[in-house]
Amino acid sequence: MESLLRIRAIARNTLIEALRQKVLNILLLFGVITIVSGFLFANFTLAEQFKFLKDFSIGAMSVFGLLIALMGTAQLLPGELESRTIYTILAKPVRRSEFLIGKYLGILALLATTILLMSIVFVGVLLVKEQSMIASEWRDAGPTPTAEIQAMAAENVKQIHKEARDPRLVQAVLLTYAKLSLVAGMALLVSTFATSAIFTVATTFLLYVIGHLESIARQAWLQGGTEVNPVSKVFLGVLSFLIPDMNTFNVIDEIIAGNAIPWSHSLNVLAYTGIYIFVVMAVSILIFNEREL
Amino acid sequence: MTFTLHRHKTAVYLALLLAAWGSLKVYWETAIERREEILKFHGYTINRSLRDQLGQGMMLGLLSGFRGVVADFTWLMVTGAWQDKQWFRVKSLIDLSVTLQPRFVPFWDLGGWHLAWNASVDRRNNHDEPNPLRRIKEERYWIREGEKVYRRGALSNPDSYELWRSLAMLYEQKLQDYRQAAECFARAAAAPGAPIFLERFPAYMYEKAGDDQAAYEVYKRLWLLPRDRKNIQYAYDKIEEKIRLLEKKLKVPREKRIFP
Repeated sequence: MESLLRIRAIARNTLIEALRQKVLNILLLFGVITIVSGFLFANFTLAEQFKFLKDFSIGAMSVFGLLIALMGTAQLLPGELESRTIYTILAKPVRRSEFLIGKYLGILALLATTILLMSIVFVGVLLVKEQSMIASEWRDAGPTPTAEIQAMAAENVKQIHKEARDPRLVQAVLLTYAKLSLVAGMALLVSTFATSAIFTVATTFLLYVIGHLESIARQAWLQGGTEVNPVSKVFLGVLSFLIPDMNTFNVIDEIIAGNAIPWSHSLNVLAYTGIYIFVVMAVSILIFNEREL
Repeated sequence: MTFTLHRHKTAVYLALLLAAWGSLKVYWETAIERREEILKFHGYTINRSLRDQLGQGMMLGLLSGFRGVVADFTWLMVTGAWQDKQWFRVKSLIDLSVTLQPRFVPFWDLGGWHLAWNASVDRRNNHDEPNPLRRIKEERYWIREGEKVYRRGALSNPDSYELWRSLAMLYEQKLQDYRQAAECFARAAAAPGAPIFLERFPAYMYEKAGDDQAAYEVYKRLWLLPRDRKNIQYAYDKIEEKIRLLEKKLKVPREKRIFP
């Protein structure tokens, strides 16, 4: 119980520190991008307009979230080491594992706050877009529409409602958060043995990119047969064992494209991410426990 | 590097943890991938050709997990190329967009329309080509290209009625192949979420093809379905009218008629 309280105190402190660094200013930029992308493609079809808006908004959420996850996590340990506050904290009855878990939970809270605020802006823009499209639909139908035109307009309005109030977007936002949490976890792992924040950022970003190619490496390793030489096979095997498959999050694009993704599939990806984060944290703690400070 | 793994115990724990997780991870990821294949999510392979088509910036976007945004950009380029009437560029950009997002039906639907309707009409009216036969040949080429896009799209999205409907309209209005149109309308009508009026279209197409017997069979099947006859969406009045007409025309024996 005491351990949990210590973890909570460290997490809260990490979140407050991050907020003091005006990380949330990035939201302003997000808001502008979302609003602009919402009204930039007015000449396209209804389905295209909503797809562009959702793609650009969730994309911006991912980019800014990725920046926060990378930069925020990368400077956690070097910052504490530089200011020497880590010695004071660890001199108290705080275990290194508690310190690391607290720091990570703080970053998760920061990511949750930013994603939540971005989602509110996103939903707001979607609703404004919905209302403006509905108004334009009835305007196009004319002041005294025939029954046929009225039926067509009503059908389009139904489609607009369906696109704007798609409950599956919750899945997309959840998966985006899971992806960013995984990146933050990887950044924390790298920072336990890195000597600088820039090394952590660069290495984690590379791991993130390699993660999008992991499925190819895995396929070559499992199905390559004799075409892949033994040395390459070992290398591909190690990659497949260690690097997360970031393509599992591509399901976000499918949700935005309007495809029905079963919740069971999203939960499966979320469970995979959760366990991966658990393992990453365990490895981070093992390494951090051995680190000479 | 300021740390050393000087405790063997830690190294052993690490190795065991990673080996155990690695095996589970590979199995789990393979299972997720297989499930995605069943759901028809995977449409592209990252290779040299894709990299050449996308360019460095968009390839980086793709590798950073922004497939949807990259597909949007390629689609915006389709629109630009269409306005400039660069039809082969339109075709390759459509291919690229649908490769990146094969489950977004409007890419297939609008892509097929660009090729089968816009490109074909533009080529038919191309007055730089004095030979009318060549113009017709070019027109046919683009209609067939549009047809291919619709067909590939329908295979990638078997649950979408839109692509079968577009393909049916192409057969009807561009190729005057009413039998194919009837088959495609039937597939469209059978897809989930299809508008009810589509179920009568195969019959209309058979009538256009001169196959009154096939049209009669379709109307008869619709008439005999156990449904609410008062629902105007089913258009039972129209179906009855057609059946009466065809029974007379086909000289159906009185005992076999629905309306003797």
